[in-house]
Amino acid sequence: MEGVTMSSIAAQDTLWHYDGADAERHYPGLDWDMYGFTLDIGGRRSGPYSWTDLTQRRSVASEWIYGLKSNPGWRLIFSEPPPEIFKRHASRPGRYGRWVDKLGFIPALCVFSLMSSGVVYGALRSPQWIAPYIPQSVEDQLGDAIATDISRDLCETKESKAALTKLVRSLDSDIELRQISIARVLWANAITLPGRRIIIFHGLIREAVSADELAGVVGHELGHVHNHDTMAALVRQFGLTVVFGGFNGQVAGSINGLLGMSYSRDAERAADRYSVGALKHANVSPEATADFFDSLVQLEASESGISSLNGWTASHPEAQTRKAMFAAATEKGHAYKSALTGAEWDALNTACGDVP
Amino acid sequence: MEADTGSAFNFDGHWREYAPIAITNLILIVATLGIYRFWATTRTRQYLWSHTSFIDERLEWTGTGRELFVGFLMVLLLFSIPVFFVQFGVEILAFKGQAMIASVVGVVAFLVILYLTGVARLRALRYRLSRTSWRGIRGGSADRGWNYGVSYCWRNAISALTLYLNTPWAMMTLWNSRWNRMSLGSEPFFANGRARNIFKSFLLFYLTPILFIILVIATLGTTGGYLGPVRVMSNFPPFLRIIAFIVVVVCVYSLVGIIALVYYGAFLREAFGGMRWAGLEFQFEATLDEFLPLIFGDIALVVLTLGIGTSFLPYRHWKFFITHMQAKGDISLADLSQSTLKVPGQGEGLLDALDIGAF
Repeated sequence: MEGVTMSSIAAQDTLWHYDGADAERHYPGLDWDMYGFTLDIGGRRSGPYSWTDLTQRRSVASEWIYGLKSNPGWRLIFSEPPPEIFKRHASRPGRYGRWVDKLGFIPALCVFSLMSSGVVYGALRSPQWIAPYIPQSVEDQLGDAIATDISRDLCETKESKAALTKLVRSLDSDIELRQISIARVLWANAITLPGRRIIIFHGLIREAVSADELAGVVGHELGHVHNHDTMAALVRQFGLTVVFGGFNGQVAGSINGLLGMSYSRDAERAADRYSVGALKHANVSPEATADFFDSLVQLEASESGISSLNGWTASHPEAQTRKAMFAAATEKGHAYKSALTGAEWDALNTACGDVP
Repeated sequence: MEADTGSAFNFDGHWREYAPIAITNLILIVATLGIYRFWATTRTRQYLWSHTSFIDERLEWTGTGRELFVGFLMVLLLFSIPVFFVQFGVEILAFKGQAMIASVVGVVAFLVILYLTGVARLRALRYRLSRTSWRGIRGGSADRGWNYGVSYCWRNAISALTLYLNTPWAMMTLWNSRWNRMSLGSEPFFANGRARNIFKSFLLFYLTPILFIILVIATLGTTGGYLGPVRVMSNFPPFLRIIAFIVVVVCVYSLVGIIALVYYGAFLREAFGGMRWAGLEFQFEATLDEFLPLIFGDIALVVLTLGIGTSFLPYRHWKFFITHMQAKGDISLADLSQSTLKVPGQGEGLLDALDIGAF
């Protein structure tokens, strides 16, 4: 061929070949020019092969392995450095994977880390974003199923019901609660169920010094209802189980499970702000609630006391900060009214009968 | 060609060479929240395969990370998401008092998962062989695993029904059945391991309940409590009680681990020992003495590096496996031609989703 320089290597031990059709090893001679190369396998010519068809396979120490794009089993292996033209033409094997190779290790690492941070942030925040879009009917149904489980332990008199309804109305005249009840449970706690239901544990009423203190707690729970926090907590629970591959539906079905369900700190703070607003709306002093948190601070300080008020302390950290928030909202010299009358407060205290 | 001079298998990798792969893999896996692991697996296999010689030629891993990732995505779409909804449905049914329907759906779902686990095991082996190239030829299987899945279900069921006494039989026959469907190049594999040869080692497992009773007694001795009507307590001072408890726990778990190793070692020796391919007979020669440093080395490596060493385990296990493999017999390489089997498109998705290991 005119103007084209041919080069060649004679058959030798340091160059071998598999044709991809069988497992037999060949020791070929090799001819090449600027367009491609040809193998001479014991007098039989194989090729020509175009340089554009050549790929370099992953190299191991002291072996240079070449393949063909058009024939997956075809191999040409040099145990000494191959001619430069092979190195120049063969497409290189990837190192980390296509995207990382393209970007470079460090830039890829930065990009991936940034994207992952975004994904984690989104995953953590998403329950709060999704919850308000879950139809109220779905949330109500879910709440109904859970409420059935708790209904056995409810205690209610006509007077206690009227007192609680009045308390809610005064705190927030717009909210459409589907239930607010007292449960015969001795923990000082209150919970919000999905489906606009609030359950106050008898223990909380018993521990509270006044109806104003209870009003602060109910205001807080109304905040959770208003902000769809229970639904967000359920979504978080289901969402996390998708990630971890397990699912235990019993969790949401028991009171313990509901206590175990925690809201985010932001949600707690928002519920507190809501409570402060609700107390203002009802013209009830936040001071009693501040005092309540103060007693929690004292209890947290003495380890022995934690267990008795465990419900509130466990899921509601930062009692000190929360106390400060309610204390700051208290206007000195303002003429507040009591959240409930003495008779109404008595009705709540006696709703569960002779429970100690 | 004779393959009985020295070992037919040789591994010439070095952990220092593998370390940059392991460490960059780990970094990228963390940065991508685990997605990179498909590419990490591929890089690891490329290294391990390329430093493994069989007879006189290196193996080559031709699979890609993308294949594994696509396989994973397919399983996620076709399997994991439906399973999640079925589970969710069962919970809701149980919640609404439809216990009967819930348990029927639950049992059916369990059977489907068991069946697909079997299918996945065969398919993963098929994928690995199809992506293993040696002397320009590759392996694979014409079997898609649907029948194997059925076999997997009933053999495991029989094993469970006989208080797991038939486990060695189920494991060995399934191993044979899996490998008897595989080939490398034009030559099929033959597997004929015998369960009865490993039955004695398996019986050691029946000692584990006794070990766990010792553990319970040790726990009760530490905390004080009743074992049925008998009050168990210890007169040791609390400090010694805790030390004794830790010693008992470590001993019991070590013994359970050693029993598992005795059996698993015997199983692998019998399983590989019963395999033939293209006139070669295989042998796996690792004994308990050799398994122990491997496993305790693994534990030390993982614990002392706070988990980072986990990325070196594939290297350690592969090296151990290859250095203890032998092949003897005559092989005619000229008669060994390329596999005519279809190459499967995706990776080990299902196996990955169900979290099952190699072989």
